Amino acid sequence: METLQYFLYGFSVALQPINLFYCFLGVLAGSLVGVLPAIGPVAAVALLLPTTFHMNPISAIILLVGVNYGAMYGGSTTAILLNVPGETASVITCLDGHPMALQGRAGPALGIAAFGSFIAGSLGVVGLMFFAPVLGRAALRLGPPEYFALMIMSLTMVSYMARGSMIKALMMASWGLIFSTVGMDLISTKLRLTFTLLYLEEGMHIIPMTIGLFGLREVFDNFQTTFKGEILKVKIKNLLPTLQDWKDSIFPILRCGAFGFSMGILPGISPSVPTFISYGIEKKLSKHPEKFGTGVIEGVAGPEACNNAASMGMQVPLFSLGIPTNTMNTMLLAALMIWGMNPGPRFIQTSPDLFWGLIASMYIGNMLLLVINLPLIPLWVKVLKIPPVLLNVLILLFCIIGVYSINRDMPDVYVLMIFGAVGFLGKKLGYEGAPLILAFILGQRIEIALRQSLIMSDGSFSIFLTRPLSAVFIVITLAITISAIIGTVRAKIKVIESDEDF
Amino acid sequence: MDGDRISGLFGFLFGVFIIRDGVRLDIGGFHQPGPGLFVLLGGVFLAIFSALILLQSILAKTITTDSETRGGIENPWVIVFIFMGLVIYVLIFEWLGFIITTFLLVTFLLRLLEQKKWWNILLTAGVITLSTFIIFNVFLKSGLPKGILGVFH
Repeated sequence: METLQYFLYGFSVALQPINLFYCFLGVLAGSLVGVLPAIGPVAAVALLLPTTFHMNPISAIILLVGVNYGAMYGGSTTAILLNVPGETASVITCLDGHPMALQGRAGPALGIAAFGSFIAGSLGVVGLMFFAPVLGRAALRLGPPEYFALMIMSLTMVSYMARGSMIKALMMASWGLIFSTVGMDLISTKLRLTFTLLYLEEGMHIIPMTIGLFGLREVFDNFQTTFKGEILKVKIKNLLPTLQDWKDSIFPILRCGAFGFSMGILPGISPSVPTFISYGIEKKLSKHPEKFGTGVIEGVAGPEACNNAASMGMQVPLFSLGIPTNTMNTMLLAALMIWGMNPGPRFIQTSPDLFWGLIASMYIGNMLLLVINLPLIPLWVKVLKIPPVLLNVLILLFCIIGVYSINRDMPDVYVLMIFGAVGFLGKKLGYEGAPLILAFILGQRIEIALRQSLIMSDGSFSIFLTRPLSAVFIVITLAITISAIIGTVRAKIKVIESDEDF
Repeated sequence: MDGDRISGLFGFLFGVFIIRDGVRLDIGGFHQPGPGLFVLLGGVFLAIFSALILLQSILAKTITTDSETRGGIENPWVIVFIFMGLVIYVLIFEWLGFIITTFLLVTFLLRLLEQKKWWNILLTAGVITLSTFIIFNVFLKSGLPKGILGVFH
């Protein structure tokens, strides 16, 4: 009953004209970002962050979260029509979506992608509405040792899920921890690692770092490659799926939606991981698995539902524990911190207007996406015809202007350039930016939790093992690390064996 | 691989440097940690992981675990030129002002990346510069620098 009251209150917040406008703007921008292969949702949110500085935090978070789930919708359009996924979570949609388009069924493919996303996204919001407050209340019992262990576990999981080697991801996380110590120590008020530079005294600025690592890096990446997708020259008709299409798709939508949501709650999982797994599950459950990959509608409906539900599930640990589990949520946490908020177990209680307003806006946003996306598909196809070079030049300018306009301070732009170059070269060498940013954001909280824990235990590290919940988190962290080491050793042995075979 | 060796070595040396700084800052005791303890731990982790990467790159003939994520730089000189252009842009940004520097940068980028006629490039650069200036400076009041054009204000 209490949840329902809060939920209705959330609608009164989300339906305010200004919030409704930003919700619309967010999902529209997200769809555009999802459509454009030149820019991903993380880079888009990084770019939008500076513009939200002067906005009311509720409108701002509605806008940024709208970009996130809007991109999940938009990504399917390019995957189906061009065989080019707008973002990674739509990679799997290409497998059946594009063959469907080639068979002249682009309309139903796009239609079921939109409906599937809507149904699963809405169910995901229901899940978020019930899970986040429960987890938040449970988290109130966590003390500094548990929080420390939980944050270390999240960091390790995100590093484990990094696409490259785990050692490299952990190295990036170490950089992030070091950067988080720059500036004034909150406890002793001593200056640390400032190298007598005035700019560093207030700490490293998150915006130039994130825009550099994710936005500028993507621009450099796009400049060195040319976009080779070819727009399908077929007429898109019959966007509404037939009764048979619905019969084939509804259970995959519900199954993949539930699976995506539950996977999304786990730390370190990006929406693409459950999407890939859900496709495999659907193929196994199908009566005609051999047809998967040739253009079956359930191969589009399931994964599209899954990626939207996963992006909803990912909000649970962010709002209940204050711990981001992937890069996108790291951005959202950064945004909340910039606006002076401190997400954690008390967040839902202390900021009900923001949390419930956001939940209600997600319902509205999902409906808006359904309404605007199907009629806008011809426009998205036209947008794809914009020369990629022009688009890149514009994104580059947005990166620079966005960073400069925060403080009108050139050192911010220098930091942007440095992190852009680091992000670009790092990606080429297999170093991911996400562990660095996550460690940077969590760094200060990890340090405080560590210091408080050590004071509590009079200097004994055993406190992390003697408290049950903390011990569980530490054991999981160790298990992840050991499994990564075993995996690396096995891979090395395989290489040596294959070398010997030659 | 050279990239791994360079990044591993750089990380290791920086980690050692951070450890030294952490110790200087006062690490305190475990019962009452000082401001340098976390800095020291960050440095230790950085040094350890960097050393592992360095060691791996020296010992391994081929590194297979992260080969999937790698892609060589397709047009390395294009990226070098773009980056140099950006460095110059940033250095003269406040002095010459947004309009002139951005017009020059966009012209340079379009000339480098698209082999189109000069009039086409100059016109596109002009449209992009003015439209971004109007959006950000006039509507969003971003306070972009006027530079030497400020004398006409």
